[in-house]
Amino acid sequence: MTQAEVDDTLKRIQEHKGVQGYLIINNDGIPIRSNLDASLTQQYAALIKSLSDKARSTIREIDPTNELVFFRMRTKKHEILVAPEKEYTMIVLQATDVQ
Amino acid sequence: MSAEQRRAELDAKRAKLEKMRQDKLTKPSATTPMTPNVSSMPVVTSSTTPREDTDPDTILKEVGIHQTTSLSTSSPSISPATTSSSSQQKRRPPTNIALQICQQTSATVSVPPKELVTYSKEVQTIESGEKDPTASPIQHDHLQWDDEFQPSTSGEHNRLVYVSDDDTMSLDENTKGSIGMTLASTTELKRTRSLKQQHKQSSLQGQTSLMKQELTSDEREQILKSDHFQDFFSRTSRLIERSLWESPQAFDIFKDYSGRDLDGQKETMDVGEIIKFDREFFDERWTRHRIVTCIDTSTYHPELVLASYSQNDESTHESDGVVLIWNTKFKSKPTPEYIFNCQSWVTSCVFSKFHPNILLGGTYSGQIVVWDTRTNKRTPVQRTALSASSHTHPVYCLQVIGTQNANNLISISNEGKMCSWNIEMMTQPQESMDLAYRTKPVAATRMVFPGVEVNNFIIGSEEGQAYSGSRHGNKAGIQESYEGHFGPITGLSCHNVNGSTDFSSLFLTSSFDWSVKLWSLKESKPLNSFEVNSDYVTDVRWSPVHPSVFLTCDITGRFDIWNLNHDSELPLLSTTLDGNVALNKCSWAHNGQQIILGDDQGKLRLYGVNEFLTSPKQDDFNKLSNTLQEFKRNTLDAFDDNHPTSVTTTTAGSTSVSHNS
Repeated sequence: MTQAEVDDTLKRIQEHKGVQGYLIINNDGIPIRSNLDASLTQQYAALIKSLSDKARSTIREIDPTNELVFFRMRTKKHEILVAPEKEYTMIVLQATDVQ
Repeated sequence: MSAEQRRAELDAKRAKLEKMRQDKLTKPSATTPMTPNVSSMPVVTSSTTPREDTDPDTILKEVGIHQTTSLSTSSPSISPATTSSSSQQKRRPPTNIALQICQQTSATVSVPPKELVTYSKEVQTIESGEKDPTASPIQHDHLQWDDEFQPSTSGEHNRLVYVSDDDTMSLDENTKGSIGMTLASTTELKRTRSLKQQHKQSSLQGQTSLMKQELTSDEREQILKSDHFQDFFSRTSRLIERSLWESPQAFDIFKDYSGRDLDGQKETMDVGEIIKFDREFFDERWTRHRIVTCIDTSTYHPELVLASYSQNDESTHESDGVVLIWNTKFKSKPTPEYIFNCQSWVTSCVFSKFHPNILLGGTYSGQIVVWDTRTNKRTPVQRTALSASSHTHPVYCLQVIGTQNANNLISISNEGKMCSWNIEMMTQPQESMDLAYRTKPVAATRMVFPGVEVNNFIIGSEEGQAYSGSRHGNKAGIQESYEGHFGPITGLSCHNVNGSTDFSSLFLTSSFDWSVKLWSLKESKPLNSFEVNSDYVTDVRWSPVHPSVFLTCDITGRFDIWNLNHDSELPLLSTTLDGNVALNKCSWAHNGQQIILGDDQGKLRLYGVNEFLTSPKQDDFNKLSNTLQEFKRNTLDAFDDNHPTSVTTTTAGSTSVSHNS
């Protein structure tokens, strides 16, 4: 994938119905790309990273052969989709839509 | 009487007391538990001796009788004993008292500070960054068990937020105790500050990297370009897109008032409906202005559909060859799962039956390319060389034959060359064969290996003849020809349904001469011809599950579903698509429950097929045999009557199946 295609895909994700924002962080919790404002980005980066680490360690503790692959948190106002990986994590916020 | 008894009791008690005092005199250690107060009193004040005197009186008084006269007489008698004992006790107590003092002082001092701590909780949060990090090193003792927590304390904002979370998470007494210490004593504050510095040094790396990333966007760019990131991004963007598309429906779970209705989301077709439009696949960038040249479905993942497209004449900067894999499982995701490119446009494509991640494509230039879904690259991982030993004309047909362990790719090109390849090694064909029928090279447009055959095949050519041949053996090459069509053969399909009767010698061909013909391998003349189309018929496919059902499509955008058991003259269903669309390719899903149509505008349309066409009964096989008998009889009659057409008009055999025109 070239840089342009990365941008394309991110744009597509962003323009999806209900998506409020996305952010990509590395495994230090430092945001690499985001379309939220700076303070919100920092907050999400830190909070979601720690939650994701906790979730991952939970799964590992219960069964060492298992690993966390994806998780979503559905709240009243929106849904947070988190795709954690070894080196980076992608987080997307999507509003709940009433169809 | 009672008074006398009481007097007796009193005397007894007096005697006991005397005994006890004498015991005290004899035993030095016995006194301490008995008289802590009594012994301490005389030390504190010298005038406590009269108190001692009163004590036996009080003891006696406890009994309830004030016998002051007798007691007073007895008390002076006792008092000298007591004074002597007290004096003696005076000697001993210092040691005892000294011990006791220690105990008491330690007990009293410890209580107050703890109580202070509990009230200062609110104050602690306001004190913000400076004090909290001082506390945090101590808190980190808890967190250091899990290494992942350490790096996240980077950035003041994060620290604040993070620590407040920990207040709720970690053990209450310890955190309170630590914070209480910082509040209470400045010395301890200093200690924790030094700890903070240590912690800062240890996490210095994290903090400096934070500072770096926040400042420079160059590093960000670098990361974005790095391979790791690209890998990660292609994987996770796929995940995210799928879940994004699925989310709106998932929310219905919460909104529905009667959740039972969700199970009925799978809309079943009415009995009257034979097909039902499911969805279409179209990508603005990759499929616009391109013709669908080939469709295949995967055996490993039945929800994946592979489609290859012709070149895009409108835009020259896009690559000529495009192959997309679409996912039918995620109903609302409109983008392809995988996109692959190559240099010249792809004329045929196929999933490798025995390798779950490999796709193969034959191109207009004669090259065969191999793509791998495991890599992140869009370009082929292998390409055949353009040489005389391999193809130099468009490769119109590819098929993977053989078994898991011994498999080959067979390709055929327009010049009549058939090559067999080993998928792992595509630099040179394993063997190549020039197909010629009676010294005339065959310009092959279609090729099929019936069923699980590896040797015998059927070929359709541009001249309109179909040929059967074999790869190896005595008569390697083309053996028989089947003549009947007047135009190039565009579609060739072999019967492939496992059932009670074996119809594997049947095959269908479609051609530019507006007809579709049914053949048997044993007969050189077609068994039947279906002439309902009024334009080029572009493709024909047997259903993989029902023995008498097949699908045709033509260039006017019309597609027909035939059921030979129902009617052998007219299709069961005939639909023409709206707009000026021409259908180029058609295919069935492996389970026979869906049909896929590819048109000349780059769109793939999926239709679901009604159940009665997908689940054949035993009866259907028998019916088909009867129908075939019918056809035979008709052709024989035609032969007898010397009629040139293969469709009969005689009155013989008027069964319910075929009606005479």
